[in-house]
Amino acid sequence: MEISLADRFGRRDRAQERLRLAGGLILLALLILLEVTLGNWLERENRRPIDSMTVESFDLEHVLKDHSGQSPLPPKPAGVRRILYLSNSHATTGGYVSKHFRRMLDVVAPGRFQIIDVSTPGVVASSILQRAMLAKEMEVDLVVLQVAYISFSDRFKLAQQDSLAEHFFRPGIFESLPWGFWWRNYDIGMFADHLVHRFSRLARYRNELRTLWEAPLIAWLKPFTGSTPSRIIEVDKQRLMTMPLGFDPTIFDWSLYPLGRNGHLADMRDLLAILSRMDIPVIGSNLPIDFAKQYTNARLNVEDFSRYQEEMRRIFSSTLRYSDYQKCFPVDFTTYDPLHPTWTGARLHAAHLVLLLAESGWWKDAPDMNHLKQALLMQESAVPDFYRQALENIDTSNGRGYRRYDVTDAHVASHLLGQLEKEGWNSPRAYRLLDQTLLRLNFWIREPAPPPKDCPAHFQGVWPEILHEEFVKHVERLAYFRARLEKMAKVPSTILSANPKSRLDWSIHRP
Amino acid sequence: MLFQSTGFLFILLPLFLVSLRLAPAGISRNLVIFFFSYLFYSGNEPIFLVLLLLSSTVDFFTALQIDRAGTPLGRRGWLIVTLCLNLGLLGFFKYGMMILSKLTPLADGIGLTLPDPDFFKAIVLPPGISFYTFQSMAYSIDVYRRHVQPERSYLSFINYLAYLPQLIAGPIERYSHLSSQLHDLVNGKTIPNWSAGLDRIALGVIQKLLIADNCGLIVNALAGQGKFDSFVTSWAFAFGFGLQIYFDFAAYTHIAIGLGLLMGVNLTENFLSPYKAPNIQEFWRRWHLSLSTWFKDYLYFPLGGNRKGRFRTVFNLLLTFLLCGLWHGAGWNFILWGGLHGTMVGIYYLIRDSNLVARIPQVVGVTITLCAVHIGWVLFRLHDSEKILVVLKGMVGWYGLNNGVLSIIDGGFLVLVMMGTLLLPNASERWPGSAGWWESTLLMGLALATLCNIPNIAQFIYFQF
Repeated sequence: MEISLADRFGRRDRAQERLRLAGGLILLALLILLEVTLGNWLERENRRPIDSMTVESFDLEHVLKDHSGQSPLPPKPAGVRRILYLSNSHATTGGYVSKHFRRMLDVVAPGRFQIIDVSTPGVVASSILQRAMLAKEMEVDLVVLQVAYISFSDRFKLAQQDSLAEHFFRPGIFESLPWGFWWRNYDIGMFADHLVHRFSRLARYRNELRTLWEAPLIAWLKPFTGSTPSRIIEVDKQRLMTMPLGFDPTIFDWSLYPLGRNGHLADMRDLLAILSRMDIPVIGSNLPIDFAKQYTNARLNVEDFSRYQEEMRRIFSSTLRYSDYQKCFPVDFTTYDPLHPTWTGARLHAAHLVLLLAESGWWKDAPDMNHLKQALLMQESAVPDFYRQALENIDTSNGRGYRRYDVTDAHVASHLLGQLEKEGWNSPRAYRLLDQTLLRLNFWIREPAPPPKDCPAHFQGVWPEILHEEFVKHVERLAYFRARLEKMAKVPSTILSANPKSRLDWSIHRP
Repeated sequence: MLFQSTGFLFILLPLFLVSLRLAPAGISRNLVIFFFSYLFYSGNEPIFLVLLLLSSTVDFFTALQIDRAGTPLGRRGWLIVTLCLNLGLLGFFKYGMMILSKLTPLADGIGLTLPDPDFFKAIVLPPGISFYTFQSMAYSIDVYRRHVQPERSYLSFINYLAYLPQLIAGPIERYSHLSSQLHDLVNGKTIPNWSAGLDRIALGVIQKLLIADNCGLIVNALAGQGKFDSFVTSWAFAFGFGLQIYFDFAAYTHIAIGLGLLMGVNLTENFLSPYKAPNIQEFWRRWHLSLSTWFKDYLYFPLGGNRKGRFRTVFNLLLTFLLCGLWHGAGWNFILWGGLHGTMVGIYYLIRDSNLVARIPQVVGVTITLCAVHIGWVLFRLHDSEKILVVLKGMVGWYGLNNGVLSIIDGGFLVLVMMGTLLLPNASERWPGSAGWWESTLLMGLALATLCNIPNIAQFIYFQF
């Protein structure tokens, strides 16, 4: 059907136009009214100053949305040193490295350090940079930077773009960013969105606005929808954390990072240059990846990886310390996936960081290495509240509940055995729970890797000793758990030993 | 940059319109259109601007050469140059990996070493390349056929290809339709229709954010879990995606047309209630009109159309639709999708004059067409042959009636949207000028409320083509 210009412009009815204008003005007035009332209220409710700042991570998104120009933290107390901990999902998924780090420092130097964890899943070099820029305004004394090869790179960019844009324009940051950074991270849509957020609270707090009505509505509809979530009402939180085109099996390549390895490394160089200008020392590391657990179809580009390692070493050469954990950290302490550390893995990462601090000279009155070793090993027996809480909240509705936990940990083991008992040993649900656990159990029993030996930082032999003790304990406890399981559950030993490779693959195919 | 983003709607668009209004008629306005269109296109990869500018420049000069060439051979030669350039660009960015992966085994056989097809993995497809190369090719062919005079102003030609509202995902505008309007716009002779323009933009925002994206969530959840095997979920998956892609693209077109109207430029309608079509031929007269007419004018007719006998007509239809499928992407599923539509249109062509077809009631015809089109969407959405087979088997009840994965609310939403699509008039039918004052206010209010309540927005599906 052809629509002529006359059709389009022919219906110019003056009365209609006046009414339309009136409608538009009413809408505009309503919008301004809501902006002033609801927008103000949303901002007040969602501005969260950090008042009990010992060392817990905080919601950076809210800090970035705050345009008050004030630091989100209270002033630094005298005699306290602040460490900005910056990483990707390595810190937020699995074993909580920064929390261990804080606990360990609290034991060896009570009240002397504050850890500010600004890690975010899927972080890329540019967003690390923006987060690191907070260092000055938060009076940070040291930045700990832990990044991984590709870091699952740019796939989360869409979900995070609001906070990224907000941060570009914070006072003191806009003018100090190098032109190269602007060129690499140019995004006209993001910048324009930021400007709207700058002026409109309704736009800035739209997530929060939605939660106001969404939760009650979902509760009201629950009798109709049952346990199945309704996609048209509930925001798909998963979507914020998934790749735009689904999970890419070839996660270890640069195909989704706009400027590839070079762009990533250039951003990293800019970051270090800016921190150096701020006169803030940096401890950096390349996080370990367990390539044996690599997802199917993924082809590790060995040459690319070694070039990445080499470049990182070069870039970080001027920093206080740099560790390539791929060489000196046992990758076995990762969860079902290749990157995230388990509880034990996170504890070991934190222990290594404490040792690095003590050895670096930055921590002037650090205790001696043996004292630290004892303190760090003692940490295992103390169960913090957040871990207890995490155990209580393990999702036992599917087989994924335990896959991030160490069955060598007594609490996890007894929790799991209790669940299996409750489910009935022969139920499919019990089998599913066990199956995910067996994945890593088999992995360890089949091939317990020895502690790495070519780690450049031995900390006077303390680090290899810690690793050795952990390995011995781990293998012993796994054997014990296996025996207990076979005895109590009457699980045929074939389940534990038959074709472990295929079981491993099974779970990796269907994470 | 997305049309439905607050940054575009409340920053870039007002700036563009104000600048256009303030700039004196003539070259200044042309420069304003050029600046904002290229700024919009720069997105987060400014390097693509170079490609667009380069492609526009070459097409501009080759069209002049076509016009100037004294002999038919010369004209044809320049036409081949420009076609090769455009198809080469498209082939390199869009089909490079597919072509290379097919050629590599052949080359290995004769001892040649070709680059690794993975090389193309790192190359990002420039947005809108399929649209602007087709628009450019249509222009060159029209100049060759002497249907239009070549554009003499370089800036005007660049703006014809890069005109902001239609740059990323069409409509694929013909030079004869758009250029005169752009000349009028530059010379201050167009009359902006604010009422109709804002109505269309608001409608587009609502269709995209409230309908298409929500259908997408349901479809993605079913696809993500692989739970589309029962009769109910397989059809929900197919209809969900059918509604998603329709409202997604229709929304983009509404916004593009709305933007045009704000400047007094009348862009081509792309959709005329396609799901109400009583047969597959009619469907293609209503779906993505600017593309289907492009293929008709520049491929189907030159192949002979329906003038060379029934067999040749069916062959021409099949070939046209296969290439139409390929236009959508470098994947066998798109080719299969094109093949399916080519076959259906071919069969319909053969039987359309029979008594049987004439006796089919309209409602039955619409139902059959709707189901056939949605079976096609399964091929379009899924790239994995195993999954496609599961859905197709599910559609005939192979795996049972219902697996309980689809919530009542989600299922109800899809039914409601489909009913609305089939029963309510098309926007251009309902509001041939602009909407009534209360409808207009309602549209604006709903669009604003939606923008304030949607935490994250998704790209338009057709951006990837």
